[in-house]
Amino acid sequence: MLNFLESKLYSDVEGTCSGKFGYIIAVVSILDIGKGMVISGTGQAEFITRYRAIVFKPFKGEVVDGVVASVTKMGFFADVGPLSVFVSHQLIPPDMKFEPNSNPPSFASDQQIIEKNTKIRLKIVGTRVDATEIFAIGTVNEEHLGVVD
Amino acid sequence: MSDIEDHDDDRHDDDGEHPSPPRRKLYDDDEDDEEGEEEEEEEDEEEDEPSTKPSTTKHRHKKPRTGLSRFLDIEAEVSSEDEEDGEGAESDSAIDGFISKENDGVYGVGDDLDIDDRHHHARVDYKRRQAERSAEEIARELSDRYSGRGIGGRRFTGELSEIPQRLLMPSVHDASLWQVRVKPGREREIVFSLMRKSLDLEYTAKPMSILSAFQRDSLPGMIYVEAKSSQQVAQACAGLVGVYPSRGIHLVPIDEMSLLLLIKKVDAGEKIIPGTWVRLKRGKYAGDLAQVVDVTENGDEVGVRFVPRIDLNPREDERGLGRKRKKGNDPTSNNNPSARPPQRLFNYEEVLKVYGRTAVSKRGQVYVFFQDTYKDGFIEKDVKLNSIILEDVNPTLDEITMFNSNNPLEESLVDLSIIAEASRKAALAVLQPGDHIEVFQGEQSGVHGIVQEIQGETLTITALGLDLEGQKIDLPARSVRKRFKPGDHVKVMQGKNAGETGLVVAVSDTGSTPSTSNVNANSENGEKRRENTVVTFISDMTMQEVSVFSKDLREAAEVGNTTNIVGEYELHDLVQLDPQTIGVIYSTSRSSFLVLTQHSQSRLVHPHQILQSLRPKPNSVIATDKNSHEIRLGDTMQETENEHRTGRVLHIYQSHFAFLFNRDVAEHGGVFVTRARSLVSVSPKGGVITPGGASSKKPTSDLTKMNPLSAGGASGGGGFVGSTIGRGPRDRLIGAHVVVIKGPHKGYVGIVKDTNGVGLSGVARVELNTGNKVISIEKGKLHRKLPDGRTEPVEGPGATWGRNGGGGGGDNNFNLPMGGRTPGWGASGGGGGRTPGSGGRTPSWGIGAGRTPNPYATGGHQTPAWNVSSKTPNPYAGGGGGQTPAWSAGSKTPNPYAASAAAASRGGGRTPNPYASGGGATPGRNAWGGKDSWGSPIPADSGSGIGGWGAEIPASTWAAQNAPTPAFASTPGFAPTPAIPSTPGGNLSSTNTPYSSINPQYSQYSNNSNAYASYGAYAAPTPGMLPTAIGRRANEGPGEYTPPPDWLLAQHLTPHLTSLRVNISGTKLPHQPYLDGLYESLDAHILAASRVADNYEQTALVKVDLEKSSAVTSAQLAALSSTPADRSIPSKFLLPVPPSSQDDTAIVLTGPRQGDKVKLRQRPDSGSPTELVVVESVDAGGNASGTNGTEGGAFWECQKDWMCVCW
Repeated sequence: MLNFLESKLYSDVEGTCSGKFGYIIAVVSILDIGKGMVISGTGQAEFITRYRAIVFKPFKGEVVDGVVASVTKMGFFADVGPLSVFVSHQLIPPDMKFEPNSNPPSFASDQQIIEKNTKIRLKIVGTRVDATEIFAIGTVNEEHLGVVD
Repeated sequence: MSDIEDHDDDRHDDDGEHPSPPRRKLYDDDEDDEEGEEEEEEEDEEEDEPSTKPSTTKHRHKKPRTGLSRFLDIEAEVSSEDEEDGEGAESDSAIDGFISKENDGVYGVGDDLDIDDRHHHARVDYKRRQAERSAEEIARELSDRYSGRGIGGRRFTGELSEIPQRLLMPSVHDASLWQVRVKPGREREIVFSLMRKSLDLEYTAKPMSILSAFQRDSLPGMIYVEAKSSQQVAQACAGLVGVYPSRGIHLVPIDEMSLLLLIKKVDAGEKIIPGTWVRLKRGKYAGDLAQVVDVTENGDEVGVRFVPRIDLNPREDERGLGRKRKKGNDPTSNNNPSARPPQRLFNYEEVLKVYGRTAVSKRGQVYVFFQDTYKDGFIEKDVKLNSIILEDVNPTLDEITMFNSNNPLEESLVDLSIIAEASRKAALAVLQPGDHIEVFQGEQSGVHGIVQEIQGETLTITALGLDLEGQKIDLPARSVRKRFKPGDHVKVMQGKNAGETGLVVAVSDTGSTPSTSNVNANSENGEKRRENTVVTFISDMTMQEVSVFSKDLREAAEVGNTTNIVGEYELHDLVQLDPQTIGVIYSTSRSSFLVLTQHSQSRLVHPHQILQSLRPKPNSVIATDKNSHEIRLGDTMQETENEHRTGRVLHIYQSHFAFLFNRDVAEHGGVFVTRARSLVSVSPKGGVITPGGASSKKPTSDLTKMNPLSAGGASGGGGFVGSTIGRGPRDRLIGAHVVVIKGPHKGYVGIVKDTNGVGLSGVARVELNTGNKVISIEKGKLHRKLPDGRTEPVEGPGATWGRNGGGGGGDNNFNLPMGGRTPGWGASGGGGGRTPGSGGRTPSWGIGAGRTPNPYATGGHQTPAWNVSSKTPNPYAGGGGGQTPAWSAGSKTPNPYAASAAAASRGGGRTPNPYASGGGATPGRNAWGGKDSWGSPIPADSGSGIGGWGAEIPASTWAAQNAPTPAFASTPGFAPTPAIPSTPGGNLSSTNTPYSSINPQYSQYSNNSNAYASYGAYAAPTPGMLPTAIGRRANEGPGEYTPPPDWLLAQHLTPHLTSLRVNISGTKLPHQPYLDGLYESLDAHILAASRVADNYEQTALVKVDLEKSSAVTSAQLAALSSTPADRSIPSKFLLPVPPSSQDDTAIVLTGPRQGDKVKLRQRPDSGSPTELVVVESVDAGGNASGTNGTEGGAFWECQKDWMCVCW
């Protein structure tokens, strides 16, 4: 029973996202599994469980590292863990130009090139928090941001 | 008028035979500078003088003048007059003197010409007299002359520019202004013709005495004439075509005169510059954006260009006609705006293809097509200034893009700065308190802050930033613009993208040229606007970049879209994606939807991928839930499997999939799909338990739907269901071929399209076979046309299958099951008077025969009892409840609680309706149980086919059985009227039996008619709606209940703790008085109670309620009114207060339903604490609800002392 509850908790909670706490990355420990209460009429039971978890909630201004997931002419998407961050071409240094002909498509300047799977350091400039996901836009158009080796 | 003086002088000359053209010329020049009025006065003066001083005037000239001298003389004289007028008398006299001398000097040169001396004497004498007069004299004379005169007097008191405007205002002394009605559009011409007329008549005997005339473009249909009296105006206008003096010549009030002449500052000349955006006001292009290309000299017309709307798909016939009639059918001047063709740039080839080579021609760079010129794809046209809108143009990016689409970039720069100008005015309107703005002009430029308040044009902002932090600054509204920075979450408030939300990625500031990538943004490139920056954001929905003006944006926290409608599809529409797949739109964005399919998959679709929208048709959706109850759209249902989600039914697809919506469900926008069969209702709503009330019109259809077998069985086949459903209220007459037998359309044949009203006075809409025309006509004027060519009335006597009174409609429903019996009633066309005799005949059954104590017979031809019995199987046929009381009554009574009122009002009045009494459910059962009512008719039926029913039933039977029985008796069709049993909530424990008693009855019936054989069986399921079973519980464990000392702490009471009413008791026991028994027998609220360790006494924090306690002693009152009423009391002294009156809300303390909140539905007879009272379970909100979610308001019995009443 307890095992079931635990696995249920893990499966239900891990990897989800709430506006309040952000992404719940992993449950660290279960503090109190709670007393079950049978819901009348259904035969199901409800447990109010307290647990400790690692969460990830992006904030404006936060500098994070991520991996470029896709590049389009409008900018590129980077995955920062579970969070998807969009970096618009307007927030990419002006010397980096979109190279539609390169394969894979990329933004490139003399020094660096941003293409799929490039590791990148970016700053989050805005977030949008939905009930079930967080979306952010970031910038690499600042000092010390951009491709990391 | 100045000509008058001229004329005068001419006369002098003529008299003196001295033609002197040069002099004329000079005069003319002078006149141009002078006001006619003065001239007139001057002339008057001159004319007056001879009369006042006859002796002197003619003899002042000493010397006869030669032509030359005369020339000089006159010149001087005129100029002296000028001087006189302009500068005063002194200079006048001086010049006069000079002239005299000169005269003297030249005198000898040209003498002795044949001149009329006398005349010259007179003139010279006049001059001399002038010269002789002293300056003072002249000054006095002048002031006499001009003092007291309105305009003339004042006008020359100084320089025009220095005179205060108010002094120039007209007064009562001035000539008045008269408004004259004229033909609209001809104002200007008429003013000109007035002028010409004035010139023509000037020297006639009757010169026009008006002073001026003018018109204003802004005031069509009227001109204004300045004159002393309306008489003069009328005289002036007489004979002019287009003037309507008959419509009155109205005096313009003095204070309005100046307004008429006021020239508005806003005028085109300076404002309209080429490149300005305007909107067209009229015609096919009304509302379209146009760009000014040039402005004509006078500013009246502007050349504009705009995107043409040429109909490239003209109707064939139009084209044909158009060719023949040439201009007669101009495709560019389509006057039907609703069907106006889309905007599209002119394409020579396309137009050529459609309209042919003759219609369009090329002249240099431009094409000419139906008198319009087209250049670069645009139509270029000169339009009147008043047919364009200059203000609030607010061009959108789209429209401008259309103009720029094939333009070189540099031109678009100009355009955009102009748009900004055009939309500047709107900027103020979009500001709201709380907006983040920055100042872009003025001395505060660069400051940014948050709008605090807006008053007219002035904003108060709280500045942000280093040194101004927190200061409040007042600013003009137009010096600020909204400020956004990357990362802001914004929402578009207006425009094409309205409702879109997203995260700002870029703000293109003044003059900067973002290297934007999509079309929208391109048009912003390099624009110099300052008021509105262009903000680019990533849409939340589409992940596309969208560029909009900052004025159209607001910061918004929410994600989403206010636009629920895209094209013809709307949020929560059921749409067909492919022949196998349907889905419900659960999210919309600007150009796409997210659809949840019936397989619970989510798909992103675009409008063009949707085959069609399946709008639910009322009554067309059939599905039953787990308990075989009908599901209706809008019902709140709960799943019985999976996640037990609850939701409102949005759509039902093929009776199998139900789409439900629940805001609380996070995924798929709250929409989820489930099997209809797995749903149960959470509320008692719907036609199941309450067939009465609003749904009374179709009670039995619900039953047939609910119990399809019953209907199917009755007709001996499943098809019956189909025939019932969806057919309900439809009049059989619809679709019938009829012939008009009276009135202007007599003899016409047509098809009935619709009917309204019953009886012969009802109206039918008949589509005539000829002329494609639909007429409304009384049914009495129609005859049905039978296939064999005969006709018969559509209703009333003789009609075969019309509605008889309230019956009609679905009578065939009954016909089928009734087999041979019904024909007698429903369909006996041959029977002649019988059936159709709805009007006269049938009632007689009730009344005449006296067999039926026919309570229904009231309605004249409505003959409900019988017709009803024969027909009503289809409740729709009721044609309104009022007419078929038996049915209303019968169908309703079942639920005495819900529908007793309705039943009483409709059927009840006539039916001695036992059900109407509410709780008395039993009579119903009696009626059923009493077999006589059924028993006796049945043999009759089987025996006598037609005559059957009424005849066979002894009146006494009916009477004895109480009128409701007729309803039932007649109903084999819906015998399952099961609703009945649901009535007696509380008494259910005994209601189970009636069903069994019904069965025999049915079975008996079924002996006679196989169709009914299965009724018993049907009856059984229907009671499903009964809150059965519940009643039983109450009877468990009799005996008095003594709550344990810690009853208050029971877990099931926790939610209700604070609402409990407890009594403090036992504190006065002699051996251990608690607090001296001060609180004894008081009632109290529980504020808090929680369990403490077992070795401590359990206490509860209570608040005694002195006012509501029943027994308050004066000592308590005195002691407690001063001390705070909250205190902690051992819970063993707190006893529950049992409920004491009906409608008390109470909490069940023990038993299987402990913790339930209930409402008393019965007044306890005080006394025995173990008394069983009927209660109804309620949920927390006080609404009736059953715990298992299926039944509403479960009634059951509970022992009184098991409950604790709530405050």
